[in-house]
Amino acid sequence: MCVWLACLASYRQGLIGRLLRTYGDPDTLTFTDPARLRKAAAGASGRSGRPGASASSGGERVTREGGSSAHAQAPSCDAAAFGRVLHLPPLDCLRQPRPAGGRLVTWVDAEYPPGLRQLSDPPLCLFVRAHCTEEEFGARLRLLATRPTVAVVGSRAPSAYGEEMATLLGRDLTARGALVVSGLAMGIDALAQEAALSLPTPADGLATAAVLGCGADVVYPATNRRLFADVGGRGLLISEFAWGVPARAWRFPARNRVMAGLAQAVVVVEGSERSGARLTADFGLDLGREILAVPGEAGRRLSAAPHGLLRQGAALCESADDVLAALGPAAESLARLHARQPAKPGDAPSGDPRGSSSARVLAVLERGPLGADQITAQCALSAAAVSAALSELEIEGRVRRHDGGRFRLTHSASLP
Amino acid sequence: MLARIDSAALAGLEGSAVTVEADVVAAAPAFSIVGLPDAAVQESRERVRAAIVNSGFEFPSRRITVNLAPADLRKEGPSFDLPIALAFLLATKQVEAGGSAHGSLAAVGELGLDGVLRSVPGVLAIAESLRRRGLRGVLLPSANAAEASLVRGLEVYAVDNLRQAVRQMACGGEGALAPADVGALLAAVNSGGPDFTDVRGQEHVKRALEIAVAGAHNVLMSGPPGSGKTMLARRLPTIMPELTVDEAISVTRVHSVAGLLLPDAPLVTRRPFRSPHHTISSPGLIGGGSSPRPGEVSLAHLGVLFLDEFPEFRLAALEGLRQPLEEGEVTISRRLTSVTYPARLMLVAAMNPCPCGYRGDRERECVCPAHRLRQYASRLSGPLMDRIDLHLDVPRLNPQVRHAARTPESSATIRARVAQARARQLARAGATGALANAHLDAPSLRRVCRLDAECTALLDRAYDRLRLSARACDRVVKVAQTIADLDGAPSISPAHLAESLSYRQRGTAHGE
Repeated sequence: MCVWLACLASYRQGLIGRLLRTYGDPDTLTFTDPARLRKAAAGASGRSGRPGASASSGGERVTREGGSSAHAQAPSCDAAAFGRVLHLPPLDCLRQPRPAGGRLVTWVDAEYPPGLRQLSDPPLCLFVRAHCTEEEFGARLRLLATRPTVAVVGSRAPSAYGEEMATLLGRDLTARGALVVSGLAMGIDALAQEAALSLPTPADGLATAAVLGCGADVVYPATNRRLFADVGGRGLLISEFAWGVPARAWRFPARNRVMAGLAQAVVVVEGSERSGARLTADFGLDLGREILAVPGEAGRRLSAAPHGLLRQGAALCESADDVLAALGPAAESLARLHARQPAKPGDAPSGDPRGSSSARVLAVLERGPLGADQITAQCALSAAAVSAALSELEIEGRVRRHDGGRFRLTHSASLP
Repeated sequence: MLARIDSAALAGLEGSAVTVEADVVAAAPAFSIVGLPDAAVQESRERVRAAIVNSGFEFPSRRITVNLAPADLRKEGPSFDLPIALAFLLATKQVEAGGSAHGSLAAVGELGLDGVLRSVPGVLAIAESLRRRGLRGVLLPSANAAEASLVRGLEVYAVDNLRQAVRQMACGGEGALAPADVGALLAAVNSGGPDFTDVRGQEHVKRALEIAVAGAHNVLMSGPPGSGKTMLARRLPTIMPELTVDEAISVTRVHSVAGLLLPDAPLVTRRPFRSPHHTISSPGLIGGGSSPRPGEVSLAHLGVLFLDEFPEFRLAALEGLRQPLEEGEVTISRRLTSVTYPARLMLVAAMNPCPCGYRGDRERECVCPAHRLRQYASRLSGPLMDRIDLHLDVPRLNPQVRHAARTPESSATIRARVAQARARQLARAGATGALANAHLDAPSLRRVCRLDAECTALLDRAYDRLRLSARACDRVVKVAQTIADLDGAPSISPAHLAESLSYRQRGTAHGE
């Protein structure tokens, strides 16, 4: 029943939330007199019920679904009539077969993430996918609830700096034991989750969790296919939309609120003024989550969202340390329980670079990113020597090249 | 009465022998041309008739049959006007072929209605074929004479109109043009014109272009609008080694067939620079059409083919670039014939980094949505990108940099270095047949370019950390070899390899 309601009425302007608050339990809903329901629905949403709606008389008998992993069947009640009362679309989605590894977690289940219960209109049913056994699945859900969770969000077309910060945060937060949650969108989301996946995960551990704006079996965007599979294998793919539901622009704000609900902190890496990242942060604010923002270059379009948040009092985030500090000491100690070894220390660079030309190039780059010609002018070396030095520094990971041929020092030398 | 005149037809880049026979008999008046003539050749009848009458000769009412032998070769274009007219005049005994007994005179040219001779394309190829056949000399329009005089061993008689041609025929040819001195023509190329010294700043790009030219590597330049990509590309021919006599003739032949030569500039003395618009069709770029003509790749033979707005070119046209880039020639097959044009060119492609052009720019922000960026990047893929050895960023320069740069090197200085590097490459490559490092295939590369232990270690680390592919590694080694040649070093050093790595292909904006 939850499933069905969830399919039909996901994020329908708080309708479900209001109904739940009035009636407490989805089951009670179904046994209510349709007339009262209609009034409640109309009162809640401000619309009048459709005249002449043929509600079946008396209570409707419903087959109750039991347990979180029960297979979803079409309820044998007069669902259509029920739907019509609430102006809900008909029941096609449940006919989709369940994909491999797919499970349902509903509002009434114990494993339902506690964070989501705080939402004003929570998803009644989560469609979760993970390629693992039942015990592991349970373990992962529990970890989702217990580990300090951080949502890392940002632009789909970040700058090289944003890419670097997303990867850095994704990796360091996971290494320190926090759980990184994001939307599997291109850009910041994907990079943060890839970085989280780059660290080894124990078998019953949770690498990362992704909240999707489409059915949990729909890969969107298509370029993230491999990442999708990885998250399914070592993490959780969560969606409030039923199997097979395609991605549509208007589903993403809904997904953002779920992300904010799951997390204890939201970090915005880069984003334009009216971006989805900003929306997620706003949801987080409403829920009382910690909001952090990574500063960017002044005046750039992609710095608009984080800087706007900083102006409003969000905490500055330069590294995973800042995030964990914002989460508080309790979260920090909890995170330490799950902390893992970071990437191989052998990647750390040798103390002194290989030659004086590399040293000179590094010194010049200390002042900020420069193009190859500018480095040449300031170093008083030949163009050939500068190119050679830059290549070597790139191999060592100390320097990275932007689009447009500018080079800058990297933040952490072991970054690939 | 039957008369015969030798001539030639253009087949691709070669002239093929054509004999014009005219037969005049007393019968019902008719004038027919046989031998697979095309429309222009059929129209010769009108032109020849009018020219003969207007030149003061007679056109009696007889039955005239003109045969252009061999009968199974398609004859195209108006260049048979003159031989047909002369053959007719010979057949009606209005002129007698005189002159020396050995050899005969051929004729080529288009006639106007007043008898004036007009130039025709492909004269160089035609003249060469006539000489090969052992003919003594040729009667040509004056406008084509200079071009034909590039061929040694053939007497060239320039004529302006039909009357003069008849006179020459009658006396067996007098006043032949002196053969042109190709070497002197080449040496007399005036300096001036574009030069590398015009470009201020962009030292890295210039260095990379020097390497590209030295090793005949193909280049892709990426940068915002106005950064100087076209300006630099246009100056590339000036740092390429000068054309040798044979090379100049080879280039002139192609340009002649395409009808691009000017009467007072019969020889192409500078390396060609061709810059087709990106809407060009596949036949336009590669060559072809119903009667095959050379395309831009052939017109850029031994020069530079500059493809600006590279991602905007049609995929079909770009696909056709493979054969020229791999083999240095392009073969166009038709139902009856197949023609091969040379196309050993240096490809220089230029593009903006993204559709709006400003990705990575210092001042302006890129406003392209993510999916358009991916679409744009996906247009550059696969085998064509594999042929491009050097990927360059051409940023926009600050005004201060442009003014503050010390006086840039002139093209002549750079050209001297390039010539030395080329000489070293030839000496080393020798048996492999590759003229330059870029043309080395994989086995030759391994044999010819040896890497010492330090270089191998560096390359391994680069392969690992920079995520190179195996093909990319080969390209890096080739370019490193060219850098070593420019340096005069006997073998590749780690510094050469490191510099070569900076010209590798980077990943696209996403998913690097």
